[in-house]
Amino acid sequence: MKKKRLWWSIFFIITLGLTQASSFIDFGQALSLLGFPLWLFYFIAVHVLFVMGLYYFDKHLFKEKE
Amino acid sequence: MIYIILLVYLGFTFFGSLLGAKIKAATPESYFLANRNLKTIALFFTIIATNFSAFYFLGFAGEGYRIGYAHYVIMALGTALAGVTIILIGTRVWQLGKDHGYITPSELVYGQTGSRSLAMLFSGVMIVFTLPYLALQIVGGGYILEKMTDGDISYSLAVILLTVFTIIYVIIGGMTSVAKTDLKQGLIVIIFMVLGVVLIGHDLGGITAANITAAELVPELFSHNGANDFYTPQKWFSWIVFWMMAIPMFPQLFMRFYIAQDVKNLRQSAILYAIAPMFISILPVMIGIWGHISFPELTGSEIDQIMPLMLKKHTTEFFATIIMTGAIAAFMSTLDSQLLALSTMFTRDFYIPLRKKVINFKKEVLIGRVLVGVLAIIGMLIAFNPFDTIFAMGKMSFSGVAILFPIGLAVTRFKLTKPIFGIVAVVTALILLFAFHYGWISKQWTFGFEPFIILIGISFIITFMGVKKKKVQSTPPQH
Repeated sequence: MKKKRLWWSIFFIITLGLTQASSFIDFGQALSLLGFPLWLFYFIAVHVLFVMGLYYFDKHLFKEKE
Repeated sequence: MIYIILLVYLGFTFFGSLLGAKIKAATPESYFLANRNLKTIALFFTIIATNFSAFYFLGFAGEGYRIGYAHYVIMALGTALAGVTIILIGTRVWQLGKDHGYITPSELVYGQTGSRSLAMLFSGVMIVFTLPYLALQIVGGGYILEKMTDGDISYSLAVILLTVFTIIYVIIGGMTSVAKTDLKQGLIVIIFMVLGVVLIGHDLGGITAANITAAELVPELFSHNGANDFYTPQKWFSWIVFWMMAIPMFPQLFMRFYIAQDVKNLRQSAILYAIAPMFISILPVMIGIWGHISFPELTGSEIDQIMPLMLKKHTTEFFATIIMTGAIAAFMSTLDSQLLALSTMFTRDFYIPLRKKVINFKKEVLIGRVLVGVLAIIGMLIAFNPFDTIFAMGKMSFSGVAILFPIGLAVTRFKLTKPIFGIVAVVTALILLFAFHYGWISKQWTFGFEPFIILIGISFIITFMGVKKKKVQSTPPQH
């Protein structure tokens, strides 16, 4: 159980790290689909990844309790 | 036309409130917590409706104008991260509330720590720092109503009308009515915001053309740091982490954790809550950015009005009116939740414990109703002379409640055996908050991070000095 907690902690820390990518990468200002900046889609992808992780984290947390 | 649409909306809301009132509330749980009976969709909308505020509608558009698309990312990701804290803290709050009959956040703190002082401090901070946010809804409603009617209804009159109307329907309906209104108003806001973006975008030659034109005019709005490098790496980190701690600590949201019918409903709502900002946060930001095409010279608090300005310029009177009516609906759905939450907290966390007398439910509701009126009037008085921009007022409010997060975590997931550490943590963080706000401490000491993140850190360290890592043996509150 402790190992799984560690994995989930690592997952959320990595996700948090991915949200900070603008600190390490210069995304530039190139425009993309519908005139939105390209870098916006990177963060939308991180958002999607986070939501998927949250879904499985929730399943894991409550399965553990049941 | 404008007045007909407004009247139809007011009638629609008022009728909904009367229907809510028909379901007789016989217990505090039924009046204040809708019998803890909300299923996923209703629960999700009542949670998300508390986010659809003037802060969202006018504040996000204003920040889109000032900063650009970076603001969308900060808000969307930050709000989504609150899904984790809702699952971790909210589900425990729900369980403890169900087991012990807690209604207010402070009752939970008292029940889990046995410290009345900490509980009252917790409640007091929540109430005081929610007041600017409450006032902000009235400010936003006032701006919009004034713009909608071209000044026929002055800002001051608009503020009075909105306050009186909200007082009446909250007093009549209680939580059942508020939750029903939230569901309808949440849907209205989403539909109208999409409509607003489509219509304005169409008038500007399409979404792509509008973005390209805005990018040519003000390219820095399309950079990941925002205009004038607003979101430095430290600020970016501060804001993203901040939301996950601030959001669950707002009383109107904290009390939503109690009202789920089952923990599964709350968990599902948390997932939906994490998904929603991806779609809804971008809408007002887009309109704010496009504002540079039509209104390039706005400054200061004028920027907060970019949304109504754009709607009036780029859509027909009919659409501008219904969309702005939708915005007022959003403000009122936040305002009603706040009024109900704060009045409940005043009654149960201060009036009853200090009087040391058991009062019957009828009297409790009566006191709650009087307090709804009193709090709304305080909000109205603040709104007559707003002390800052919409976003800055919201930031002040969020910072205050966020310092309670470590205590929220400690009492739900750990055992706060020494509540005195919680008290010291809150008092220290409050002193520092005011010290930063009034410039007694230079912001240079935060090394570029937002001061609130330092305060939350300090609050964490001190609170957890009093924590024992063991499940809580809880004591129900004694009234």
